[in-house]
Amino acid sequence: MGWVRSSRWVVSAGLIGGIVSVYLCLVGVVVTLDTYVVGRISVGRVLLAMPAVLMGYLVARPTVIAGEVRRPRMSQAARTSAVAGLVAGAVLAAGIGIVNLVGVDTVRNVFIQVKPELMELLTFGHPGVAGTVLRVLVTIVLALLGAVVAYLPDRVRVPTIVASSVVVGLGLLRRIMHPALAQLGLRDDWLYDVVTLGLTWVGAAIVWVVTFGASYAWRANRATVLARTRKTPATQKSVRLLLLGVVGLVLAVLPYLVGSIMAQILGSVGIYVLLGLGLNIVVGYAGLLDLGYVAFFAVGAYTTGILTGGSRITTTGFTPPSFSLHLSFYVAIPIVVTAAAIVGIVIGAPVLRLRGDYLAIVTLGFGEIARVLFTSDWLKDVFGGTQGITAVPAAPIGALEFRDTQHFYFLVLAFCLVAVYVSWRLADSRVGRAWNAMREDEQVAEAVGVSTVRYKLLAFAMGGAIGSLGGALFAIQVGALNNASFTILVSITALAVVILGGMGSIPGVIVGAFVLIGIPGVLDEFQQYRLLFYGAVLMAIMILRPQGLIPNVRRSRELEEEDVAQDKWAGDLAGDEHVSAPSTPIGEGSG
Amino acid sequence: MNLLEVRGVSKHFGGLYALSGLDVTVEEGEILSIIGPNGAGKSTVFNVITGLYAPDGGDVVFRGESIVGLTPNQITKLGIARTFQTVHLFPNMTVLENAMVGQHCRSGATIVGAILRTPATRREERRIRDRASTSLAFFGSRLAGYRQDQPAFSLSYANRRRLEMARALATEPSLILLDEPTAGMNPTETLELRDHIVRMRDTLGLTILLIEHDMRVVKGVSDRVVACDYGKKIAEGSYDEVASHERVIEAYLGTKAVG
Repeated sequence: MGWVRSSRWVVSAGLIGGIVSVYLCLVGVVVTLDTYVVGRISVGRVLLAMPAVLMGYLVARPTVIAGEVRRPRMSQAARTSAVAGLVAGAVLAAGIGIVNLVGVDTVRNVFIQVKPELMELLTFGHPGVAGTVLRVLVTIVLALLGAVVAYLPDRVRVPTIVASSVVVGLGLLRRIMHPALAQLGLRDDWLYDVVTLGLTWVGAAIVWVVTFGASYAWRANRATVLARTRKTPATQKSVRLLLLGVVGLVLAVLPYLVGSIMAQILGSVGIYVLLGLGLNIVVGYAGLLDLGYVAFFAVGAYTTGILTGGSRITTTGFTPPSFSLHLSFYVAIPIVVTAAAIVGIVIGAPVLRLRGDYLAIVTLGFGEIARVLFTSDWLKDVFGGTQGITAVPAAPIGALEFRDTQHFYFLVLAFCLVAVYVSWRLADSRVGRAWNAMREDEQVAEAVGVSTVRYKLLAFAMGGAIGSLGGALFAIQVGALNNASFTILVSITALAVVILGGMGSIPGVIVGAFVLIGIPGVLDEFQQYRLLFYGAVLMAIMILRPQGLIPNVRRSRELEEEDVAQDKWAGDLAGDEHVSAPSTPIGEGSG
Repeated sequence: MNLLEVRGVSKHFGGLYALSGLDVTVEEGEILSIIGPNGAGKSTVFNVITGLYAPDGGDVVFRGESIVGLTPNQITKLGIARTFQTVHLFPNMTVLENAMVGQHCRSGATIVGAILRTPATRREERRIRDRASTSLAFFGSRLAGYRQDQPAFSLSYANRRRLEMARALATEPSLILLDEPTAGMNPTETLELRDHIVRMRDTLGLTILLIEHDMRVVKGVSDRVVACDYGKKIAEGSYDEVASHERVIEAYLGTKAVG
């Protein structure tokens, strides 16, 4: 039995690929994302090509039947991916045909992103049948390219994918790389084209070859390298220290390398790390699904604003809130945290009896209530109504103002380190165990002696306290608070950060924040497609890796080392109980 | 001395009377079995004693004081531990962590102590770990060694039952309620467990209240047996007395057809 792929499967893959391409065209991704990656190839074009390549890759993959891996012959792989490519191309061609029939301007009344530029791009500047046929052919070629990737042996395929991704990434990251390289005193005109601002072909080729080589070498020697670092506890420890040192160094110089605009994005990432870590305690540790987490963000921001002396905008100009205290930020922080913890208990108390979906809906409501209260006319004298609070003072330590985005980054970093430390300590403690037990089975936890009332309230208070730190930093980062900043989107994003990284995982939250806040921030052109990006990323994660990007590390490692431990244990037992067992290996002893 | 007294406890769910005026007295240091056909209200008694259900009438007295109205965790802290009819573990926590949760009510580290990891907290954490290990060691090598660090979901069925008991033991109870501990176990495991139940009393000094369907186990371990049906006590006494009691036979086998 050889490799078989049902034709229905192949045609569906082609249809899906075609529909995704048409969708990308309709939402405008293809034309709007016009940053050049390499030469004259824009991000939009890369994204347009991706569905075809992915589809070609998927249909030409080896099949696994009952554990047996079957690889396609080259002709089979080529044939299936070509068919899928043809179908996808046909879908695109049909789209082009319809637009041509109806007329671009008419279609634009509904799909505002369908522009003449798009049609020109799709048909390679040849209106009419020629261009359409060309598009179909290109789609087939792209699908074949995917098939080639699928056909490569593992040791070549993975480096190929890594190297290609790095090239695309570098192409997009000129905004970071250019100032960073300049800071380091390196020239980058060989790498980035001065006119298109994308990579030059030569630069791209060099980057590709270097990354490919590095990735290939790493894959070939990974086992040996890891074995060497894990050999003894001492080497393990020194490797860990070395890694910690490198991470510390990178964190310390990062804002200066990437420039002040990127440092601001790093600041935002840090704020979401704080929100994620706080929510991680509520959702990840204690298992309480909170969809109104923005309440704590708002409490943190507004209390900071008021305590440190922000002003309200009124008809008579700027006036301080009714009871502005003009405290220093650092004096205000303990009060802010306490206030947030109290709000956590106040929110937690009425929902003690609720679980799962019901809890989620009620907390969703609380989030909205918080936003409405803070921006209401009723409390206008305190929180400034819809105009909000403005001119929140900075948080100076001596001469350091922390207004500058690069300095602000360090303030955020310090808060994040504290939050990481707290989360880490709590995870492996009596309190953390009680939360975990509650997450696993609330009723049983109660029966085993955990006061679920107390620990639920404690989770809300602790999660709220950490989240409010994010709000406090947000207040001094932007300096102005109004109702636009505290929408439900904050709750959703924070939850997405936690889910993407892996519930209950601290590194997961950090990575999640970098992916969901950092990437759309750095790739400026993606901003308007941010929610599309979130949706796509979350769907992909839920389908491909529901445990998150970096699941709770300890557990996965335990599973990995289980076999070793089991053998060792069995060996120890045998040693204990059967002292008379022959100690020499059987091969030698019985010779 | 009576350790636990269930005095005329009633519990109904809508129109269904799970318990109607049940009296059970448990003396310190004894093994008391509750038997009865399915639906006799045996598990409901356990749920009332441990505070999961509030009784509709009657009183539950532990060491001379009423425990009705206390939350389950407070009752656990007073010294009553239990296992469930269907195994309820914390499946994604390790075996040791499951047992360590049992020590929760015997320790007091606060959130501040946990964050700062003070010497007192560290000492307490060591103590929790040791005691949890000790209660796992009650089942010999079954839950020892590498298994301690495995997630609970990876255990075999019998080991899950054992872990549930070890977790109950880790709460350092004086009275333990076992709800059909041998359900689903094979004959060898059942025999082994029977010995464990006796050993819980003899070496740990626990008082044991047992719900059990396997009559060999009931016969082998019980000092006294209480038989229930329709939420009432129908017989009480030694195993032989209860087993030959007319109403017990009737409850299990039904009445003879008249005529």
